[in-house]
Amino acid sequence: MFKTLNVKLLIIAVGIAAIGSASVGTVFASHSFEAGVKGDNIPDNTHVRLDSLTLPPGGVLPVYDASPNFVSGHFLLRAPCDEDHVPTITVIAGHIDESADNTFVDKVPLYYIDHASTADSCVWHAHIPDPLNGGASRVTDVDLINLSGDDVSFNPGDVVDINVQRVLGSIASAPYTESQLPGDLEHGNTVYDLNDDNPDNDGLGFHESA
Amino acid sequence: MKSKTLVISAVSAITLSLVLASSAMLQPAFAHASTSLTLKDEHVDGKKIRVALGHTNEPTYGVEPGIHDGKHNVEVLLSDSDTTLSLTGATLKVDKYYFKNVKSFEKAKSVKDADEIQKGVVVGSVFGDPGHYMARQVEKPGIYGYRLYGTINYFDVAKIDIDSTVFCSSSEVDTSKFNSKGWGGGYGCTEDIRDTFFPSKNKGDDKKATFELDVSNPEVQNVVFEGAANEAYAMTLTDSKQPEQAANTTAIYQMLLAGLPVAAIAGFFGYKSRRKNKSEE
Repeated sequence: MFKTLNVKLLIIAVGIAAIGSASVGTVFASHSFEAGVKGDNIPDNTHVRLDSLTLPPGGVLPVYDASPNFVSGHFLLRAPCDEDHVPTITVIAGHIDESADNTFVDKVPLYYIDHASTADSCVWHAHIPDPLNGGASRVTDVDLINLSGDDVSFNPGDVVDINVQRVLGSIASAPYTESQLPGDLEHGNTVYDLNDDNPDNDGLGFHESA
Repeated sequence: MKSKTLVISAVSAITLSLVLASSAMLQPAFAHASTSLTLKDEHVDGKKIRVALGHTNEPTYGVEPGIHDGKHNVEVLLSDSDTTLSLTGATLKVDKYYFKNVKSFEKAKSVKDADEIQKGVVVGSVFGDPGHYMARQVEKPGIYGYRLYGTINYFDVAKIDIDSTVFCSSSEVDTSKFNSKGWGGGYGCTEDIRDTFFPSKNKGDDKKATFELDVSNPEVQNVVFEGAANEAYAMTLTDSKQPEQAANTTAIYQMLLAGLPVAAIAGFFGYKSRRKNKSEE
């Protein structure tokens, strides 16, 4: 009698453990600094197809301008990349003012998404702004700029998608006090990769949650 | 024609002086006091955190049954200075210091001399509003100061302790003698809402018509927090010594406010009719 009960209990315990381990195995990567949407507001989304487009050296494609507001949101890019998964185009963000003295832009740190990339083009995500891994702290503008020295031609399916989730403030009340122009930057965004075997290129603030 | 111009000028002058007088009576609205903390960490060295402290619903007025609920919670807002992104996951507490008036504050040699002290009050995070922390309270007119202490979490990468005191800002005197270094801006001290009455009341009558609500009493706080404002006052009025007198005073003012425009219109038509009669004669 007791023996049968023990076997039944053992089977139930093993079953619970199996279900538990299966759910622990499902993890979502997130960053604690991602502000997300406040309340039940609907985020603003900009989707720009890049296929058939060629940017000459020094060419710029502005993809978002929220001036005078600086914003937080999520950035997605599918574009040609090199063997280190660095995009051949450079993604920059910050504030482009009418006055050069009040303009500050910097390269956006990107997260390479291997499982969404294909042979010709890579896919990256980025957090706007990213207080831990670099880039401009107050973003009103996002641009693609060709700093490579060669033409950059996009592949079919290449796209940039920007999802702005909240306004953080007005650049008028928090202007940049130092200037950095697009032309001051060099080719190549910093690229992080959470999926390779190197834990040193995961960036800061990343955590897995069950 | 000349007399008509004179009347219009007189009315304009009176209106203008009334508007100016009423604006001069307005209490200056303070925002929040703020300070900055600098992180010392191998990953985020030199990053700054902005800490803002103040009361909800400025300007602040003490509880006045039937008129103002006095609910001005202590609130703390934490953000990354560079990006203004909100900082979540902080554990914060305040010690509260209350001085009933300027005389009491000026006499004090330390915060320990406060007329009322409440220690270890948890300033909890507000659900659905990252970076916003709050402790509920009902205020009385007077000078409020807070010692804010605890640990602030910088995006799960670094932590920093805070232990800093700041008092409200008064338009009458300097109330910063117990403030820790580094605070800028300010939140307003709590005023008596009767000072905003127009026409002004006889202060002596007011004293007779009101009663003290002991906001430090947890039972009273629970009543005020759990019920709607009017219900809470209805309950506290029942407990008061002179509730009818207080209610009557409010009713008289309401009648006066409603009656004034009627009297003005009646006077205007009366004057017009009299002038018409005179011209017919």
